[in-house]
Amino acid sequence: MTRTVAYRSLYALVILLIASFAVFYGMRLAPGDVADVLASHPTGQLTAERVREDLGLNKPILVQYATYMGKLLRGDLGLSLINGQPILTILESSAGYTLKLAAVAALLSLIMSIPLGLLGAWKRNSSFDQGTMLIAVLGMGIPNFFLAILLIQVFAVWLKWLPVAGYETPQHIIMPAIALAAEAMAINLRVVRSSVLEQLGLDYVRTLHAKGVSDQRILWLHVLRNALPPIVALAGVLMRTLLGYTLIVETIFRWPGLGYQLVNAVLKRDYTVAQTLAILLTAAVILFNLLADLGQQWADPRTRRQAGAG
Amino acid sequence: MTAIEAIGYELPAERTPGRTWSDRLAPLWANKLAVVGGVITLFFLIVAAAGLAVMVVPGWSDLYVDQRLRQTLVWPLQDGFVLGTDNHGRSLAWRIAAGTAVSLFIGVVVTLLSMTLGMILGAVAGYAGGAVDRLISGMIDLVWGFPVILVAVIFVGLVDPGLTAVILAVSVVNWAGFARIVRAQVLSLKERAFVEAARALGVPGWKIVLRHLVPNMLGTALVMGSYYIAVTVIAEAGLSFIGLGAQPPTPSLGQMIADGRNFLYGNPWAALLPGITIALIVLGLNTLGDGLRDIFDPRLRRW
Amino acid sequence: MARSFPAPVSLHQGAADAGPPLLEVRHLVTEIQSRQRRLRAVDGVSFQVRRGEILGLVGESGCGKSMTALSLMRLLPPAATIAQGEVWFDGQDLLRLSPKAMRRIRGHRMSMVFQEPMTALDPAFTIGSQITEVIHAHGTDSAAAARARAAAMLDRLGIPNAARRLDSYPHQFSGGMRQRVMLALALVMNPQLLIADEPTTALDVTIQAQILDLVADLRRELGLGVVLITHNLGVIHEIADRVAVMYAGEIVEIGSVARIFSDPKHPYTQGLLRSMPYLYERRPSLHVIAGRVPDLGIMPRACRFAARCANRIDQCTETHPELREADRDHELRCYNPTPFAR
Repeated sequence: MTRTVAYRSLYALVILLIASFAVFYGMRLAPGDVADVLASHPTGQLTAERVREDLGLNKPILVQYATYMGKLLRGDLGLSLINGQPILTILESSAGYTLKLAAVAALLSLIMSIPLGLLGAWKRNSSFDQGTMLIAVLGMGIPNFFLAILLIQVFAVWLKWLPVAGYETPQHIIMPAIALAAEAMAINLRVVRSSVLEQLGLDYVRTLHAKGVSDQRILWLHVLRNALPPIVALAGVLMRTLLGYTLIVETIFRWPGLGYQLVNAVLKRDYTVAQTLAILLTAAVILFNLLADLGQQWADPRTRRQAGAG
Repeated sequence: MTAIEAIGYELPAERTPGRTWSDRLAPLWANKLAVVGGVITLFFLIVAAAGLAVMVVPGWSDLYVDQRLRQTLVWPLQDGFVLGTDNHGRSLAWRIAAGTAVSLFIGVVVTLLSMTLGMILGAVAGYAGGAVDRLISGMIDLVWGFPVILVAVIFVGLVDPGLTAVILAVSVVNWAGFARIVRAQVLSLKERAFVEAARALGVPGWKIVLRHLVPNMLGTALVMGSYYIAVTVIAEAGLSFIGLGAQPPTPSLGQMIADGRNFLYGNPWAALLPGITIALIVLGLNTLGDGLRDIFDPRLRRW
Repeated sequence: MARSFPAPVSLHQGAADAGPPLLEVRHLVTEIQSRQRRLRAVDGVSFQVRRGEILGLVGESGCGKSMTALSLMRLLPPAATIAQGEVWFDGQDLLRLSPKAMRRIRGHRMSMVFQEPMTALDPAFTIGSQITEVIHAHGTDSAAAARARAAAMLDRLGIPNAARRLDSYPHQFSGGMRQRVMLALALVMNPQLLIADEPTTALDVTIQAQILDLVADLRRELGLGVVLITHNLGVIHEIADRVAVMYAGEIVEIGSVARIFSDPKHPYTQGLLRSMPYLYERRPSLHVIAGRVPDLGIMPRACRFAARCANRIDQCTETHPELREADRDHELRCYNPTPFAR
């Protein structure tokens, strides 16, 4: 197991280097000149020459990249092009919000999809099952930003139960979390259901019944445990997608997380901020990928045993 | 307990007790999904054709760009506007048609692009094996499930906000979905094909793989194609919604929702209708994909 | 004419007692809802099993023997339902019990082992936890006591290093060992009745013999009643006391093993016996019963075996024969029984 972890981590690191370079290179090729950006956003604190020098724009791209990554690793994230604010400050204030939102949404999608999918498969073709499948179809069909607008219209505008946007109170997280969780929940629901259905047809389930084990125990312990590998595998992908959607959902609800800051930076052509946030988000995505990968190894009893023995 | 249907004998028809309609229609159901999805998809293709006509035929563009300052935010079915007007007094019906055309155009172009790329790379990886496979599989691992939006943001930095960034971003991510499946198919075919190749001396293995692969791939392409067009439509709408996708004057459903949300009090339909349109397009494509999957390859996994 | 069989005396002697039957199945009918039609997999099956008795249930695949067994345990797949009948076990009709009451009987007083030991165990849990799970489902033993009991059971079933093997996973066991684990699951609560559905079919011959010996021993030691389902007459001959021959969902002949093997009366039973390799080694080639089990849709109204039967008379194609007593402890469903000739 230790060797697997080490190997996978190394692999993730290599991918991270490639991806971060791609982001870096992409942002460097960006059309327009720093001077233009500064001209359109006069801040008075930065001059074009100072910025060019700061970013080392006159050196070869690989040198620039190495310098940038070196600074990044030392915690020196540079300054915003637009307002000269340290990027570290932006990051510190926003990362927590994104983590909070993503965690609540991920939890919400799992808490909803696993029991619903499990019970739907157990009571196959019942009206409960058909109801949950309808939820799944809608969840996959309605884009999250449209769902967000529907939620705002219903719960904020008509019913006035929840605030339209913002971040000040615990209630503020409800709608963004639902909008963010809906699609992952729907996809997960389908996968849980089909994975559980597959398990329910297997011989060992009949043996468990023959042993006189209760239905609840069979379903929630044995079947769920065995149905887990594809669910864990998918969870990795869903979490990554979810992280990507924070860009949209945070923007709609003005939730001051990384996604909101990144979209704003891109729209304002604040390259230094956009580049750093994009690289950090990419790193987060790759980290999720790694965790999901290891989770999958753990979830499959065969690979786990082999890894444990070897 | 295997092959339950091979056990026992049939009761006379009159003793067959009531069966539910869903049971009775079970054999039809799979096709029915495809039919329902196909009909919805066809409808939006027609809408898209109308939208395309309005966009390209000289002189017709008035229909969706003309602003009527006295007729802003008209509700559906009033003043002769079937779906009403937006905050500039432009016809929602024609704007939605044009937006649908853009959406589906992007969806089809991106899917064809990523499908071609994915199928070739997947087939090469599965067939070649070894270092080539490790390289391509590594790329698949990196890219598959990578947030499209994040990639798009990076591309926007590269080529400015717009549909080009959307097309590039979605293609770069989606090819991996096709490549995974084709790679797995080729891997399982290879074993069989080489046995056959050994028997039919002189026929190269890749020819035999190709012969088995092509009919298989047709089904896969149709099923996965439906799903991925849906995914692309959602991605394009999302990016346009936050302002990184289609730029005015290009009509886009996502952008219409973004514009309409500022006028929810005046005419909620200006935001609701484009949203419903996206949801129906996606629903139709997903249902079509499910139906086609049941017909072509029930074991095919989408995720 | 009739060659006498060497009776496997040691196993049969005084095994069954004379009290009321442990299990009595009366006119069991089990139906399967398939896509377009409703099929009768089990059609009016009746039999008894006494304490310490092994009843063999034999027939071709698809004759309804597995469905009969699953009906007794009420473990039918969702498409199958018990349409009629009674299953009396220890003074109560199992078919009338609530699902909860039935669950308390399963694995506790009545157990089942299945054909496929490779897939019958949960791959994600250790052998030990799967055995103690039965103990906890039906008893109040502490975790340590349950574990000790599980180890003792495995040891009793001939698994070396039993206490240590409790922490192994199923995939670390061979097929024969897994079937022993299945028997341990089934027997750990000391049930009165064991239903074994082709328990040795998937195993190689030496392991088969070991498992069967084990079942025979346990029957003798624990006074266990056994319903042994198999398509292998050799197995029946070796360890069963009585045998019921099934064809197309019905019992066509039932009686003591000694009587049916020496004087089979139903043409189908006769055909099965002729097709056995081990008992008739002198024959130059194996016998094959011509024809196939009638197709689902065209099951004849009359005798279901008529189409394949060499002794068919007019009546056979007109009316359906009933099961009638042919001898002491020997019932038969045939209009024209003929002496067994090889």
